[in-house]
Amino acid sequence: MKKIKYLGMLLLLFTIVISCNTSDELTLQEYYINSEKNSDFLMLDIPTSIIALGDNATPEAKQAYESIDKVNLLAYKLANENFSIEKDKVNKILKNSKYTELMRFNDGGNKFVAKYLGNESSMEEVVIFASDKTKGFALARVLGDNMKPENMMLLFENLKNMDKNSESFKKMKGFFGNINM
Amino acid sequence: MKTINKYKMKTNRLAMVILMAVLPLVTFSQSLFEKYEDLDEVSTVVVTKHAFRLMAKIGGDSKEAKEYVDMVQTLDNLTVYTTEDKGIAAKIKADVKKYLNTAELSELVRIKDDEANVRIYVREGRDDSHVKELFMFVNSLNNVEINGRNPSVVVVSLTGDIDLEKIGKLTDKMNIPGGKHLKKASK
Repeated sequence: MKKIKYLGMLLLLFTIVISCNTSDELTLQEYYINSEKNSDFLMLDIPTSIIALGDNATPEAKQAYESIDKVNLLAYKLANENFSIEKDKVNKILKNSKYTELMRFNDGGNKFVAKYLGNESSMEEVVIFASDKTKGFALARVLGDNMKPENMMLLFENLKNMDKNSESFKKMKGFFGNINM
Repeated sequence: MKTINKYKMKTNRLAMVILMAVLPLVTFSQSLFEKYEDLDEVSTVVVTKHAFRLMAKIGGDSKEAKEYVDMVQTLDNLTVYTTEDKGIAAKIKADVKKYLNTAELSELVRIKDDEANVRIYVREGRDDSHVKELFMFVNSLNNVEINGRNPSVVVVSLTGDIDLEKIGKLTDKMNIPGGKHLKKASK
């Protein structure tokens, strides 16, 4: 009887420790919110309305279009000692096993990684993190509901129809004009 | 009681020893070479099976696309390491030798021309035209320029259920150094 009680207590303690750990972990969303206030960062929400879907768009392209909520862009300009601290924060968040890695590229100073959240046939979030030792880093999150990869490609074909007069596009151009990744 | 405990300890130890002996045979090339990924002088590319599965979905309707889909669907990971640094290249060469000694790889092709020294190894798969791993080691590159660099050594590892007859097409598309040799080999 004593043994069972002891085991029970240990189990309880274990679960408490585990749940404490997971709630301590910073999520990407939180990181975005925290960084928004920091002037070293540029944060941009690019709505899908920036892409003008033509009238002759296929139903698949329409599905892809509607499945995307927005693209969240967060960029950090180097010029700061905090670059590696912030970069490490993002890397730590992305190391969480809930993110499935698609590909990564590492060339000394330049790094690139693409991951997604959700499952293969219905992704919730696609995250792309690119960093350049000499220029800074950029984090892009494509957020959506039931995003299907096969439809995404069709949507990319429509990217050339981007509304170049929209505010978001101008902001992007302004910031990225300084960063040439 | 005491003798039972002693027996348990002995079998546990034995199990550990067996496990440790078998482990190197089971690990993929990535774990031996993973340490190179963090080095600034080494360039790494990794494409995971999740990416291949997505590519397979995007496929398309053309005949070429369908072929591509069939081939790509059963791939696991593609890992490419290159470096220009001669010192690190030597270390990688030594690790490659180590890996070849422990893994169940057998040489498929060996090509030496004035451009480079290419060796391709495979690990047997489910039948004669399939392999579980394709390992390519390109060495002694003579001023070959790839993407603006002059690499000293290139290591390519592809794992999964690989159709040898079709893989040449994939590596050709991916512009992997030495890919053209692979295409020749798979014919």
